[in-house]
Amino acid sequence: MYIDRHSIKWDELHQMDVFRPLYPTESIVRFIKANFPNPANAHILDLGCGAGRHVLFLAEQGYKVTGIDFSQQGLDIAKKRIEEKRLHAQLSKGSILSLPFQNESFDGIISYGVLIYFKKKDLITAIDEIHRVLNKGGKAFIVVRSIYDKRFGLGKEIEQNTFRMKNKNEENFIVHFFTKEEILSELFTIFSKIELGFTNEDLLYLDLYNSNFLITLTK
Amino acid sequence: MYIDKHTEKWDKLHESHTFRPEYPTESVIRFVRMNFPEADGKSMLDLGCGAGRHVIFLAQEGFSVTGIDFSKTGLQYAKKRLEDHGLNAVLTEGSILSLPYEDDSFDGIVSYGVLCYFKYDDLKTVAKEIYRTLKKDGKAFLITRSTHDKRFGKGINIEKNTFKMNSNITNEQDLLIHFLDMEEISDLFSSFSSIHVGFTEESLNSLTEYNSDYLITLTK
Repeated sequence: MYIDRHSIKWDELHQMDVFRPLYPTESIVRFIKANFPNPANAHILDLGCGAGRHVLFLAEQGYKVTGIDFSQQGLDIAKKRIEEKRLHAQLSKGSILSLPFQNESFDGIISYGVLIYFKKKDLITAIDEIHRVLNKGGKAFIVVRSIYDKRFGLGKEIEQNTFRMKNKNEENFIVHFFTKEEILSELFTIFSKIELGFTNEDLLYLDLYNSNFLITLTK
Repeated sequence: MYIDKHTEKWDKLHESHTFRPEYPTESVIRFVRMNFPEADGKSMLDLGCGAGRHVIFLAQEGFSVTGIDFSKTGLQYAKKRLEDHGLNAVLTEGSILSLPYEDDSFDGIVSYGVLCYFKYDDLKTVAKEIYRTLKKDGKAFLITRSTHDKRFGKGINIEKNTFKMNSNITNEQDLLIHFLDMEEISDLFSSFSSIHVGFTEESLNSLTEYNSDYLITLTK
């Protein structure tokens, strides 16, 4: 199954330094500060927390944090970092397709660069799960790759805008590149509000860049 | 003088929490990892270091760090944070139009969101100062607003690509902002041996109104 292969590959990737970024991304920091000004009252879930860059950030800022990931390697590094800083976070190994949490458990959910690694059918399941575990009025912030990203099309297209990648670090990964239309009118319509932003960036080029959609959902 | 007014305003801004970001930006981290894979005590200058987000990052990475800023309030926060982390850096209160450093002092210079607050003539002076204080083969990384930014054109047009902000939506009321275009980048930095230009654009809730910065990598 493609997700099992992804899991093995991520265990390997987490052993490389490059795949263990230490600092939170600016967009997550902004989303959290703007929507949860009072850390003491907010329980946040990091969906696909990896080596814990955002779990660490949330714990440092005083939020109640839960992180879930399918990579034991990633979670081990996250746990070690949390302990080194004498912080606290709940870390679970598990699948995003069947979250081991009760309905309406979280005030906020963040997911950075994770939902791109699913086929359409599974993506829809993951979105249902996000909706299920979010409190009413809660907000989710989802960062996914867009079709304008420089890696779009580098591989074999297995579903619309979904590729089995051939580039070095993502070889054999299944990656879905999102369109504005599917975000606004198809995938997330179960939520009461969808806000869409983006980030495009490259250090050295103006015409080849990383491109993400920033999706803010309100239940 | 507009720069004196800017100093007062920044002293005030640094007292508000929003203007003391704690974490380094992704682009500065990438520039450093790409160009200085080993810190080995190499000397880095943060030009307009403010409350010290990148001074702290660079010190944590093992560089020998100098930060300069015109805001005493900003520098006081930077100093306190360094102490809290048990880190060291040289912090200078001064003008980036006349850097109080010898020629060829630094292996690297970073400047995040600073150059946009200068008029074009002063920018030429800053570019010369960066060149002068950088070592041969040293690299500078400058992040500054582009003409694609959502603030471009909003305010009073002072000179080409320069506006005095007349709204406070981004807390920049009365500040003077220069938005760079590609032609100006080539003109300002022509003395450097190489210029690479990338960019970053971002908005949390709009596809048409966004922050837009050029990421300029210079080699002396």
